[in-house]
Amino acid sequence: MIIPPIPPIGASVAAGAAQVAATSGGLASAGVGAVGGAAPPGSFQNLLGQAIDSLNGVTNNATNVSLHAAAGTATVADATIASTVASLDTQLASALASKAVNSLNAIMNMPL
Amino acid sequence: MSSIWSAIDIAGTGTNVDQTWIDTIGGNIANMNDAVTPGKPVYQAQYLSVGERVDPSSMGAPGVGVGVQVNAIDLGSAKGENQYDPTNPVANAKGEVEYPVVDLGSQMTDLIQAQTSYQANAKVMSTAKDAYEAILNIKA
Repeated sequence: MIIPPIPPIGASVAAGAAQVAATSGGLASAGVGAVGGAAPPGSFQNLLGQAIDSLNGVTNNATNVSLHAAAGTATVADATIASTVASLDTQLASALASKAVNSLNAIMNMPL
Repeated sequence: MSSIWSAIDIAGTGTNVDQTWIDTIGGNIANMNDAVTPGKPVYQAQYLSVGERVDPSSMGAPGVGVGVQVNAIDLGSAKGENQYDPTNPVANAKGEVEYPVVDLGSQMTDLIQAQTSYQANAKVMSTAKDAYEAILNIKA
C-alpha cells in the first residue's frame, strides 16, 4: 500500500491565499453561475447552483483562514469569524432550500 | 469587507484592533528595562491611534459605521530616564545608563482596558450569531 506524501503546509497556505482574496466578497458577490447552460437565468436550477457555488466559496474561505491562523498569518479571531460566517451561510442556504422545496411541494399537491 | 453578516465583521475589526493594542502593550512591557548608554537610541513606547474604519466598499446599512481601525502607532518619548548604575556594562563615563520611559502602572491599566474591550467585541460577535441563528431557525 502506497501512502501519498502530505504536501507541506506552506504550499496549501499559498494556494489558499488567492482563494481568500477571491472569495472574501461573501454571498453578495460570490458564485456567478457555474451551473450549466440550458437552464434560463433566474430559474430555480440556476439560483440553486449559484447558492451552492457561493456556499462553497465561503466554506473554502473559512478553511483557508483557519490554515492562515494555524500558520500564524491570521488571527484566531479571523478564523473564528470566518467559520461562524460559513456556518451561518450554510444554515441560510439550508433554510432557503427547504422553503423552496416546500413551495414546490405545495404546488405539486394542489388538487386539480 | 462586505457581508450580510455585518455585525460579526464589525466586531471582528474591534477584536483585531484590541489584539494590536495588547501586542503593543506586551512590547512596551517587554522592553521597559532595555538599558542603553545615554545618548544612544532608546526604546520608545508604542501607543495606538485608532479611529472609525473607513471602507467605501462596505455594504452595510447606509450611515452605519463599518468598525474601527488602527490609524497610526504613535511613539513615546525618545529621551529616556538616566539612572546611576556604574556596574552596568553599558554605563557611560559618569556611571549612568538610560532606560525607556514606560510607566508599568498605566500599561497594566491599558492592558485591562484592552482585555475588557476584546471581551466586549467577542460578546457582540456571539450575540449577533445567536440573533442571526434565531431568524434562521424560523421554519414554519
